[in-house]
Amino acid sequence: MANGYAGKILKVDLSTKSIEEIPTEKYESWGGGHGMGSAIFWDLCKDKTVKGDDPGNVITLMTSPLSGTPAPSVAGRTEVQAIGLQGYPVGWYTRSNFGGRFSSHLKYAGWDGVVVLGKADKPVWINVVNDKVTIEDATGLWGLDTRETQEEIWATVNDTAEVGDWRGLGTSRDAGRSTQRPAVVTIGPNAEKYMPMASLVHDAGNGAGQGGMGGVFASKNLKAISVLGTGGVSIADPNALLAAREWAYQFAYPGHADEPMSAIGMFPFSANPNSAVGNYAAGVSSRPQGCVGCIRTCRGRTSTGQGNESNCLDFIWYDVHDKAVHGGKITSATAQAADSLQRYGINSFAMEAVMLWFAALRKQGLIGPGREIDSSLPFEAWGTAQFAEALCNSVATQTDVGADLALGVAQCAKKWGRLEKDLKSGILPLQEWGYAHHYDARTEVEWGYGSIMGERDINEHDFNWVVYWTPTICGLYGVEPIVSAERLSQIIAKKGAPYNDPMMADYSDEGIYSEGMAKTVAYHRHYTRFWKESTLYCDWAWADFVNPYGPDYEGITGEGEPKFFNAVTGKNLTYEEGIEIGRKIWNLDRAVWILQGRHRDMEVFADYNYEVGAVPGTTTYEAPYTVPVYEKGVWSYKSVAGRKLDRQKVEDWKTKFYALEGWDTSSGWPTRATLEELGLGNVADALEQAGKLGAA
Amino acid sequence: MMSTTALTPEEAARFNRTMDPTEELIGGALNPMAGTVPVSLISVADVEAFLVPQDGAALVEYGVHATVNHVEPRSLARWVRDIVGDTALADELDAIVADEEPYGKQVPRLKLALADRLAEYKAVLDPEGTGED
Repeated sequence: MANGYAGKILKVDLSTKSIEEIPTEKYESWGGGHGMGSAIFWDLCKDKTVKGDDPGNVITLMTSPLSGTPAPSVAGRTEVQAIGLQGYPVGWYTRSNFGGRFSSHLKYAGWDGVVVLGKADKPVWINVVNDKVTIEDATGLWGLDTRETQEEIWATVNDTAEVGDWRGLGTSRDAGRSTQRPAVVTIGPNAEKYMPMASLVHDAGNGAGQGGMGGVFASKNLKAISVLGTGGVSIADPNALLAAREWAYQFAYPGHADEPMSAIGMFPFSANPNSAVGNYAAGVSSRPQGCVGCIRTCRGRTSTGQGNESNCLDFIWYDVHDKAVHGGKITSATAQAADSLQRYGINSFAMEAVMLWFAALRKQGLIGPGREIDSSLPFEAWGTAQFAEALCNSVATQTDVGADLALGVAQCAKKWGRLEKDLKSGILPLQEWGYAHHYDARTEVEWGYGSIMGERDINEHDFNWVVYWTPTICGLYGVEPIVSAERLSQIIAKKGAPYNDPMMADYSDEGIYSEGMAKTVAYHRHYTRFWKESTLYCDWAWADFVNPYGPDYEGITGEGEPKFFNAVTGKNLTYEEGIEIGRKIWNLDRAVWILQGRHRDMEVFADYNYEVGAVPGTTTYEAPYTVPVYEKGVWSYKSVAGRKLDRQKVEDWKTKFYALEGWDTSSGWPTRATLEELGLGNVADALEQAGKLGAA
Repeated sequence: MMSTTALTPEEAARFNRTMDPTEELIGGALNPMAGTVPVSLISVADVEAFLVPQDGAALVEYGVHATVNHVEPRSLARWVRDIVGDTALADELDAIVADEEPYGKQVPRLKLALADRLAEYKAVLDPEGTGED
């Protein structure tokens, strides 16, 4: 059937060494990606209260029907879910995501996803070549870094082919041929010893860092999954898909190459010649590199080979420290620091928090040789490649302070007796659930609320780009924003189904505790659970709220997502129906968290969010944070930097949010009526059996 | 440009010093991917290097590539006066701040004032241009 799905999901039980197929049809109503992953996890993880390193944990790596297709900025993402190891105080069931070639190759090999259960009795890797799946011995790979591991597996799967040559996969004429190396996702050396910090790495710089998914692999004695596919993806309506691409082209910069380019909207990073996306030293040139099918090409391959395919926090965890000791200039240290992270397979967000925390501890004379936190790391080389490598190595080898950091950042702070006081003062920037401060909960509340209602730093820039970054930069530089605050509120209301309330854009001191903000957060959780995490539209291209080429600057979100989805699947799903599936997925995830022990009393930010503003002197300093506000009957953009959260008002907001979601406001647990309305009666039964069903 | 006549070698050395981390000025590196990362600045030279003039319209257009280094201008002037101790430079910075232009328009002027003053320190400390303080 031509509907974008490969038709089967690979299920590997490492305990029994069994390899089975799950018919995709069984889970198709969940869309793909996260939805399918959650539903499969619910069915296959018998005890959802186990820790992330328990053999009973189930990890899913899922594609979507759009994976491997020409739909823009969606085809290359893989959604990963399991009970995590990073979160504090609980390693919640969580998600991460990586780009590159893996999801496409899974589809080309005929699989919609991979589910791994159990634990192997010795190190293994999973080898997928089209329909053929084998469990291979990884004893010789276990101590290798992520790049060495991939090179070894490439050589094993394609032992004779040169790069770029056609490779035959068998003696039969129809066995398949490819110019590609297999797509391998792997973990760092001996990652079972630093599980909460361990990421999954694919190719040079695609990583799933948050959650400790590398640790979940390691706990199963699973070093890597390799996949090479030579098939294709069946498209329900190829003409509609190509028409959708042409339609989207008018909203993308390349469709307006003779006009001033704008980063708002579907802008290719590579459209800015010689402006490398990575944080490279002066004189280093790069060419664009992106995931399969992506129009944004957000990464680079460099003339030095350093920092290849890294991006974002891979660099930013270190670049400010590099610049601080090199006269404000980025040197090769930043790219080398990115490479250290990638080779060891360590979570960049966690390391960013470590660097900021250590900088504050150094300032107080608390860390270093013979200090309260005794460390022989080369602090005199702070900001150099030498220090970055030494710090990463200490985690990977559990030496020096790395012996404790390997437990996780929050867990390390607890062991050092610093967790409470450093979260209170704000020098340890872990905003919620032990995850690094990313965007500020006090100012950009949809980010913070979404994170505490969920299980991790959301890392979803849908609102961030239009409510914070653009107005803030415009304010700092005296540039008129592309849309007024009032127009932005209208656009958000139009896209923010099913609530469609302009007050969803009110980030004023009153607005952040309002019903409108509850709707914003609910919409965002539901929208992303389906359209971003299940159909896998990339966070760097979608949502498209504001677009310089749209009618009255309106972006294609709402129309674009289902247009591509329906062309590929042949379905007739509306934007709103997708969001409703997202609500169902969100409730299923919440049910898992509740079984793990979640209660409304736990859903609070780290103390610094209530105690101090994001001001100089904290590790969460913010410059002017300009956002839309509705005050005295007028919309405007206004800086709210330095704002603290009011504990009681946050609690009141939570009550509004729970009520909106149909959850018990005293516990935050879903009610039977809410779950049954979503077709999750079996989930209600499980919660009731556990004594954790919300009161009606 | 400020006059060098009032500057003694002792003053120039003091103003040009690298300070203890407890005397830092904190700036922020704004990046659309990562949020704001605080940056510790512990000398006038640090601040001068940190401030990067950029075209605002281009920043908005190319925003995904952008990093904006931000120091609150009033805090900068206060830090120069109270911590660095260079009142002449602080007066000049205050005069720029008083114009209340958007930050992006103040940056080139702040940077120039800092660069000029650093040149004056250097002229006093190394009048022969030997490269040695």
